[in-house]
Amino acid sequence: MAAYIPFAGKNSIVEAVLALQFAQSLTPAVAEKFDDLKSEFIADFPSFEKMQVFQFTVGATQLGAATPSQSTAGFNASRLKADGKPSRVFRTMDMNISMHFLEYDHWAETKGAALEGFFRCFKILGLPSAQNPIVAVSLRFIDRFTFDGSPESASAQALLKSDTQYVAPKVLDVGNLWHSNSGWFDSVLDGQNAIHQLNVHSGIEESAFVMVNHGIHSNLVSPVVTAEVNGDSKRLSLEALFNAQHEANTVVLKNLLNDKMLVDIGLVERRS
Amino acid sequence: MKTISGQYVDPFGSIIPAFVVYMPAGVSFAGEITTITVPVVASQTRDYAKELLNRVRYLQSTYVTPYEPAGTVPSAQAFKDAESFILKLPLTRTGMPSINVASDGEVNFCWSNDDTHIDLGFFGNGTYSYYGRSPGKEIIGEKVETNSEVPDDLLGIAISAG
Repeated sequence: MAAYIPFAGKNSIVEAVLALQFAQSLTPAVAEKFDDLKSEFIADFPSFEKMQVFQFTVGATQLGAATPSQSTAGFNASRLKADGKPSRVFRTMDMNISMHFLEYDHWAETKGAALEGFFRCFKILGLPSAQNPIVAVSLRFIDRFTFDGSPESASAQALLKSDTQYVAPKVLDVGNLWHSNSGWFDSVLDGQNAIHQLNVHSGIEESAFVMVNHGIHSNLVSPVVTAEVNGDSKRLSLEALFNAQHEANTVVLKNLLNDKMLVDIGLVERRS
Repeated sequence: MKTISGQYVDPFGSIIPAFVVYMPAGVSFAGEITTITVPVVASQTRDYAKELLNRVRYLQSTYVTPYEPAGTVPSAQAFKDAESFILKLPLTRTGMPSINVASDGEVNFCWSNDDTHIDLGFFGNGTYSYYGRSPGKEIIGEKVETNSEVPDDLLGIAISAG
């Protein structure tokens, strides 16, 4: 019988992104330490590129003009698979530092690897600081489900709960082309304000598919100004927030996906 | 009429069209657009599981008679077991096995590179058997139930092969 399947067999996660946002862009003085970072992470991320930022200003006299900045604004470090595609990417751009996982296994392993990378990086860059504290924490999961059947017969009804509160009911009976983009605020941990962005869309490539892109962005009540005070307590507080965001993602998926898919991707246990 | 269009890049999200401005000719637009550009890495992906399922179905539809005089065609159950197994693999980590049929009625999965090799077969009895090797290591599995979790030793070598 035609049904949706996780795009990668046991796993539906295309990419998991854990990210921290600083109050300001990294300064050129910080960027000068990127060579040290490259040495530090050479075993974990053999490919390391420095990045520049381009800013476009659209105005009456300079439409489309682009002035590249003269300084390095970030880096993009990758661990590559045998086919040359990245399995993991560590990236800093503008005011964000992020770890991207394209081979997802378990949350504990993923979160641990991201935090370890962030804190090793902080030690070298001398961040966060009172001048440039961490002000926000973000988690994003992108899931993909492939329709195993004729694309013409694909429908949201075969993947989503009929009473889900996360997409408009209309998408359930309009076939294989639809999208639903939404956002809302709530508190995922101890009154920390968080914005959810949930973009769900259905399309056709080689097969019909549905992508679920859920990001949770938490602004910190107390910005993190140092990574070192009280041993690793700052790591624990960030870890608690990532855990709460992960749980929030689970809550959304459990309300969104039908029971069969929740079993298939391991979010609920298979009944004996 | 002039048209200006732009994109909004949400932090860690995908690029989506954000605005289109239509202006009468002769009227200029003055403004500044600032974006935070930290897109996700995965711009495209393959539907790994569906590709393998399609391969199994192609083989099932192609090999309906033995291709050797004394050969055997794989049973429908062997193909069904192979499909079930595909959905138990973490394919972004293991990579894509090659799938073929053997003249003795086996549906065969193979991972292979310079250092590692896995040979795994379904005969249509609800189980599979495998042989694998990586530097300094050899593994053998007999009559593993198709509905059970993929054994760790097999998964470990498949991941290093992928």
